[in-house]
Amino acid sequence: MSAIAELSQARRGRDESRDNKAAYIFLLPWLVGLVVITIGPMVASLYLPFTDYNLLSAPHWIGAQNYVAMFHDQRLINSLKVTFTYVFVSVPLQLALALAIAIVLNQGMKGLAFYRSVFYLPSLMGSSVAIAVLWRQLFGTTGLVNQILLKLGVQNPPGWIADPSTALSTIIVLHIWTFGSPMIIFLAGLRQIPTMYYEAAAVDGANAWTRFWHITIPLLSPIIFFNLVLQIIGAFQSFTQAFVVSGGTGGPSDSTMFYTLYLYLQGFGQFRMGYASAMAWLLMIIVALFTAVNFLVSKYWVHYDD
Amino acid sequence: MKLTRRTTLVAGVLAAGLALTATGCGTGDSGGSAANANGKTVVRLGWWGNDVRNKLTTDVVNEFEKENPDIKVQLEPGTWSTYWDKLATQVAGGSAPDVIQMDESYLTQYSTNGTLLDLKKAGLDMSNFGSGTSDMGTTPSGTFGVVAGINAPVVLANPKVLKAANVAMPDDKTWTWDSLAKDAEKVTANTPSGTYGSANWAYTDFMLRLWLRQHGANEYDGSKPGFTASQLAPFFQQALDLQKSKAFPSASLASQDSTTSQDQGMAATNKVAFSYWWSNQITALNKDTGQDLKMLMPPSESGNAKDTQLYYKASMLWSINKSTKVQAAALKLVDFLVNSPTAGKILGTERGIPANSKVLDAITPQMSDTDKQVSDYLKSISGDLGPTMGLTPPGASNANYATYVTNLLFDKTSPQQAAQDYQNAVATALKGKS
Repeated sequence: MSAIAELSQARRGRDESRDNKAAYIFLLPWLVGLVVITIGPMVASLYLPFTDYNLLSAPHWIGAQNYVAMFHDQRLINSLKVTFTYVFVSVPLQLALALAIAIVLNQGMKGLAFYRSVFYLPSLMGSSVAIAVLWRQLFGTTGLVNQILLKLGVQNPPGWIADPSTALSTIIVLHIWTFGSPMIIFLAGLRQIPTMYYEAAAVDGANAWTRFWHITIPLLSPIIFFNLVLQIIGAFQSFTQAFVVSGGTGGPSDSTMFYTLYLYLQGFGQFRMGYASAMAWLLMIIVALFTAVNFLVSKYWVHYDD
Repeated sequence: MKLTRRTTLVAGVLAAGLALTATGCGTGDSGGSAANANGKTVVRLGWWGNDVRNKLTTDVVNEFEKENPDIKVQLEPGTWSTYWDKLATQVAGGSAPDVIQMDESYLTQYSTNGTLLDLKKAGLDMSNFGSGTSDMGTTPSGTFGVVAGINAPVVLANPKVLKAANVAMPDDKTWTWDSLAKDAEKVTANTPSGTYGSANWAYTDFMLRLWLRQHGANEYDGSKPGFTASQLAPFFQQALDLQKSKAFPSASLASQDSTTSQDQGMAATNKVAFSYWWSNQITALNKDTGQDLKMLMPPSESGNAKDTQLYYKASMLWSINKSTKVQAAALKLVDFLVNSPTAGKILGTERGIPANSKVLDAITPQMSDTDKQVSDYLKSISGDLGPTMGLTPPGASNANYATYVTNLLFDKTSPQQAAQDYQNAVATALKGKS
């Protein structure tokens, strides 16, 4: 009896190690990519910020000069302002819209699948170059939006992408328009809330707002937290929209100079790769900081079901 | 090992993965590969342009390949707005083209970093070049570019818009900044809304330089700004005044136009009467506007053409990648482009007037009317030129001139403040970059 048990144990062991080997072989292309394309450059970029590297000749060591220069760079400080404005305006608005639409869709209706797909579509293409080009046309000084405004009788419509005070707003609107993907996640989360909670609350005389605030939000809070973390990390890294809408300049007047765009212009436009690498590490620290804060604060408002 | 389905599957995935990785590594250095399957030498030619230039370049390359059957030229067209980012990336990755179209404002940067070949040392023949033109691509360390064509600043006047506004074509030998402004105001007033007298010239670099030269200053002085804030402020004040008087388009239109591509801008769509270009750009603009635009010398303060302080510029240059594996073939191509009368006839003046006087003589009889116009324009201003304009110092583009103009036009800074800000920006940008 024990011999058979031993034999089947050994057979299981052999099967498992064969399974593991096969798994690693299937993973190999991805692993090679991870090391060569992601980890390798990251390690290299630990060294680059301490060098002066103009892409065309070998890097040479300059110590912490790049980091010091960053603190005195007005355009960099401005790009931080622009990026923070973008992240902390567009993400809450986008998530609020996503939640609102998800709640509406959750009531159930004819054609629900159709609406879900239609609302999701913009978030699939939202960070593409094509959509950004379209956006630049729509919000041009003589673009479709202004043509409609003029027809409606607005006298001097704003310059949108050409006016420093409104250019960033057009990119914020673009981000809000891509509410579809957090919406789908919210919808899934809403489906998981047992209706008996709502029924019990209704019996107790709670109105819609109370039900929303005291049932939906707490039970949905893990999902809100998830979306918040992901969207903030993603928003800090936005590049395409700013690049295309401003024509690659971060203009007008650096009003759409996202941090990533300034990093790109310094690295590839001004041939200051060392400086750009320093900027990249600062971005990582900033994103890590906000993610950590997010996690720390979450214990005060996120309720996990046991 | 038994040939189970699993083993075959695993082997297949391994093989595919290895194959993909191999191809991935392989394409990395095909950039410098010297021969393709047919045994011909492949020379890669990169340039920025527009539809007109792309067609002419394709034609001239076909002619070159006819005369040199053992060389195949691989065409790599691009557009100005993305060209420099792409080139920087290619140079960093070691896959830059063999023959590179170059601009004088980037020449110093690329040459000091060893990307470009010294053409004089490599033996490029520039013996028939007009005086001063063989040095247009020369820096203190050598000659890294050969001028592809010569041009000069020009004001293009749109006859249809002027006619619709009932404004006579001005006389460019006697006009002034003020008279141009007044004509522009008249045009805006007499044409439907959306059409303006003049593009906002504050965004145009050579208008800034001409104005500064006419007032005893310069944009750059070696690696320092060549002007003081008080010298620049009146230029900005004038731009602001003309925007108020509607000679110029609104701030939004002007700011947008400054980042729109040439063929979609206000000049190309017949929305302004006067716009500011380099003389070789008239070929594409005539096509876009569907008209024969008139070339006018930029204005002076005094109304005397001799005070305009114009200058010739290399519209663009040809450079050769120092790490090219096909140097002889690349030199042949560049030599053909700048020294061959056949090439000259095909390219016309779209890249500027040829520097090689023999080529210029050969193409003059068959010049199209536009080419004649450009050639005549350059000849007509030759007596009124100011001192030669030096190469733009490296780092200058980091000064980000357009931002200060935009801030001025949207009333965020005063002209004096904008001038001071720009001067500080130039000083910072040029420092430590030489």
